[in-house]
Amino acid sequence: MQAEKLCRRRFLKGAALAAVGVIAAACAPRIVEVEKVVEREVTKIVKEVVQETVLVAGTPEVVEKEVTKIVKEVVKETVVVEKEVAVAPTPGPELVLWAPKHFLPAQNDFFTASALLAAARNNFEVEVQMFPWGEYQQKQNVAIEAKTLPDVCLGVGVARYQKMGILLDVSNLFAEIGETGGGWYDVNERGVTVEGKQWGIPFHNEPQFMYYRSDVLGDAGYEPLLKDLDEFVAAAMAVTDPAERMWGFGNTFSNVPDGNNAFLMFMWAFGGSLQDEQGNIVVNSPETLEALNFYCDLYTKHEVMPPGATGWDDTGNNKAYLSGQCAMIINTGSVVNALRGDDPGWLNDTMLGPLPAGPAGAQGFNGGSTAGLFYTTEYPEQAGLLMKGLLAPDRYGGNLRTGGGFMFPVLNDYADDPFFTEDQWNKQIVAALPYMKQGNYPGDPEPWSGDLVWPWSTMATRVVVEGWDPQEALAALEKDAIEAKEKWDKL
Amino acid sequence: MISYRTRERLFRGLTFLSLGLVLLVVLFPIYWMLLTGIKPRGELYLPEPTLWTKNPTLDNLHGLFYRTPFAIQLRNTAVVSVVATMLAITVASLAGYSLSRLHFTGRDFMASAIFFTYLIPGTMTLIPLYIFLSRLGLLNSLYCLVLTSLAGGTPFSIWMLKGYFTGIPVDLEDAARIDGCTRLQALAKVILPIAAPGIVACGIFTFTISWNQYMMPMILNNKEELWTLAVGLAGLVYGDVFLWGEIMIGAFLMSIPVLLLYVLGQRFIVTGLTAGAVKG
Amino acid sequence: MADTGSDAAGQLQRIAARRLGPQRARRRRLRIGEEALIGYLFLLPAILILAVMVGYPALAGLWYSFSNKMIGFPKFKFVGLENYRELVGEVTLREAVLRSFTYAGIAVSIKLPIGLAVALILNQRFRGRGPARGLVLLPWSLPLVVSVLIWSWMYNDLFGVFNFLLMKSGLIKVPLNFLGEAKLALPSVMLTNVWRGFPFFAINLLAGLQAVPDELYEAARVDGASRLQSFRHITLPGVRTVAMIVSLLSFVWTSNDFTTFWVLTKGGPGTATKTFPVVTYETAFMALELGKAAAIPVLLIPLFSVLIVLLTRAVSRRELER
Repeated sequence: MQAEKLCRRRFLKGAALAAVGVIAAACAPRIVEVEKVVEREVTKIVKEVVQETVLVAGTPEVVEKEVTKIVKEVVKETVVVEKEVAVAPTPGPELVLWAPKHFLPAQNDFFTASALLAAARNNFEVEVQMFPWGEYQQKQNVAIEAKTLPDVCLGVGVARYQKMGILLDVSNLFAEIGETGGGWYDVNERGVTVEGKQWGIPFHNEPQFMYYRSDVLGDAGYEPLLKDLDEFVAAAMAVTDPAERMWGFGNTFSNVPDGNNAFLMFMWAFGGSLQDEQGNIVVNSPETLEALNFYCDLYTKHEVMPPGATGWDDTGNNKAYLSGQCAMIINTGSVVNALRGDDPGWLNDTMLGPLPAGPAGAQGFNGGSTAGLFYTTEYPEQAGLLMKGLLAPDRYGGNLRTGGGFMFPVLNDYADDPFFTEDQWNKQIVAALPYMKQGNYPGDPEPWSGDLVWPWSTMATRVVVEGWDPQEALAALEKDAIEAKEKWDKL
Repeated sequence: MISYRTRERLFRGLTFLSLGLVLLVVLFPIYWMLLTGIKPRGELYLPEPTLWTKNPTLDNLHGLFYRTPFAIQLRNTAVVSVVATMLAITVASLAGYSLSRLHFTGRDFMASAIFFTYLIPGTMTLIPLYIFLSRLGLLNSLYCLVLTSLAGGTPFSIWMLKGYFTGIPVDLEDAARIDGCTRLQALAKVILPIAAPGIVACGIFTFTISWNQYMMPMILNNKEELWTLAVGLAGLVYGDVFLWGEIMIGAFLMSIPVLLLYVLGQRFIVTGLTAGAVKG
Repeated sequence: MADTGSDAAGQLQRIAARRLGPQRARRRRLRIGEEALIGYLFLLPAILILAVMVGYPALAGLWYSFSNKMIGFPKFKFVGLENYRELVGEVTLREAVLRSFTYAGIAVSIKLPIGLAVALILNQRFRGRGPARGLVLLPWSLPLVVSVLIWSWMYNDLFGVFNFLLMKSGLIKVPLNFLGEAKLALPSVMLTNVWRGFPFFAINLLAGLQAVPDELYEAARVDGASRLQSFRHITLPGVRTVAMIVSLLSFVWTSNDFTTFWVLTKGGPGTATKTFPVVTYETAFMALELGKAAAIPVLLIPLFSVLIVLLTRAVSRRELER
């Protein structure tokens, strides 16, 4: 009874506090803290044990003595140096910014603060609206049709929207921001360039890579990072023991983004791809077929994957690794983040790297987000300033850091940030970055692949679950791709 | 031969056993939902899930309040549901009266047409509806949510009340009208009080539909503070990171008001549906 | 139903005529017109809301279905029946429609007997009957998204409670791949739907049961009928109308169910659970083909209409028999 009362009281209190908090937050001017890296001189008292040679009764002896020293050190610290009130001094244009909500509240808050700061400094107002990932694309679709688009939207499909003609040409903005950040990564520049002009501003990279349990693999005699796919299969088979609830490789084999994108890495590893550099569809090739067979064999022949993987949702492989039932998975940095928060015991044994090399080398998949300015905006200049503010040197670094190892930079300068160079796992991810490719590799971004509905996972599950012949499944995918391309080429 | 008494006892025993089984099946997922909501995060992903937990925690609850403006969304959901319910009852009463008491051409056509609205799927109506509401300036408000709730709850309510009204003898109404009441007054003073159980049944149906709205609030409103509870909960799914604990405890909290409504009103539901369903 | 109405109107007219005398003829004609006016007036709010919120979008959808409209491209042209021709030719859609109807048909035919059984139980007198009735409604009262998420959590092969209990009790040795095996996926989704949907049947059938007068049962017992016989000859006919109406509604709602499939399997594995709402969603919002997607529900309306007409005829035949 007592516990019940407490629970209810706490619930009511929590509800009341939440209500008050939100109302208060909505009423008060926003105060934004700006971080700076400063050097401070710090005085430390250090006790050292030194060895001295002293004469003891005539003979030299080595004696240990404790010595107290006062030492001045220079330490680098991230300190809150300024507090800015992010309210525009004079009412100016009002902009709307859309962004997806990430699972780290700190990141969402920091991002919002960056937007508000940029607005305050440039005499306009911005409203940041964040949406759950699930229906974000739906919201955009509906807004496109109704022409109720925001001024700036983070998370756009550049190729598609450019074809629709709803994006503004941001080539100049792109160049300017690039200069302030030491230049864009190649893969990001390619991702927003259509017909020689840039139509979007990349915001963050979200690489997907392989997680290795070095303890489990080590017990079986394998040391990550594995050098090629043959070793990968051997290692997976060696550690798989369903009775002990351990599988070598856990990948979501179902119709979800994780599952769909992972196959791309295997396809590239064997030299296959959806399109070639000129944009022709070349997916129905011996290389892709080999990759398909290899991938499906993992499930059916070698049985190194949990059988339930064909029915997992997007969290399936995350949960598999976090509960210690898979020795290797492919995922973004979200799992590392979860491990850091609630270490089940193998954070330190986790090693990260690209997909082991196939005949065409090691691979990684690059997701991320790109921002676009919509043609309906009445304030393109302010929208540009907003983007600059979000990617400004004094804000972008913090944005990445609050991303907790999930978000990676799009500009070269930030690769030197201690967050990426000194953190054990971020370092490994950065080392894998050169292998990262975007979905349209090796061709340019194109609008038609979005028409294909979970093409890769459907193809794989058709073979593995419905018993299709691999060549037929591949041919079906090719047919869909050709249809999609023809449709978009006509538009 | 088994005696009558024993047969009766056996029958009752079987009934109770079946009831127990039904309740087990119905309530087990609910229990699992509550359990997941109070389990500490470390216990969520155990290879062997525990059927109960030794360390119940309120962390998920705190997480829920921290990540979503739960209180505000609760307010929104409650306001929309109550308003929509009251409007639905009014609209359905009028329509039900018209379809059951009055005779005019096209009456039967209207009755079927209203029923037909359930055949139109949401995917088809979403974009035109959005554009239309946008031009009216009703987006980003609670008004549009009331409208969508009405659209969902009214057809069934009309059908139910129509049948219920038909079962009420006309003489009562006639008596009132001869005394000088207009039709409207007769409806309000004579029919509605008798039809109270049916009214309550419609109310509960519309309330549930409104309370659980997910797609429409999410698409029609852009601000977190204008969303409903269902949207807030769905927002705890971040791609491949599901905050299961928070989602489950939130779902549990969400279901309490509706459950209370049902338990209190179940008497009315059943009696209300009696006259409506069978005679209509 | 019709009888009572016209009786009342007739009665009223006679009373009115007696009171008003010579002006009787004129009043009667006015009264008929007045009835239609009031009829439509009272219907107006309902018609207004439904016309605006459902009717207009439906018409807009119908209009789009004759065009090649795509999301994001304001210019489109009318292509007549081409969308329809294409859809009828598409194997994916045909299979999806068949799948949906089979799924809905089987689901309804499971929910009906379960609902009836539960209604029979809840119709008995016992302590706690009230709360029991309220609790039975719980699955139906949760938001759809949430209840489906719970089931997805329970179906998991690595830490789902179902597999855990089944393995612990020794019934299976290897976890069942509820959502990932072609043969298990659709039944698993169906189980979720049955859990969620049977309370609607139970409560409505309970109401139907309560309308059957006790005297009938008494009389049967006096005549020596067994429980089974009174069930077959009194109970079943009594709830027939309710059962048909609820079954039809449920069939419509179940076959149009999108969220359950999208959250549990997204149409997978492969295409094992791709129903037509999933295809509609994918056509509209992934392929951005609004015109084609709008044609799908239009294509199916005739099928549903046939069912509705059959039902209405069956119900009115039943009433005539009474």
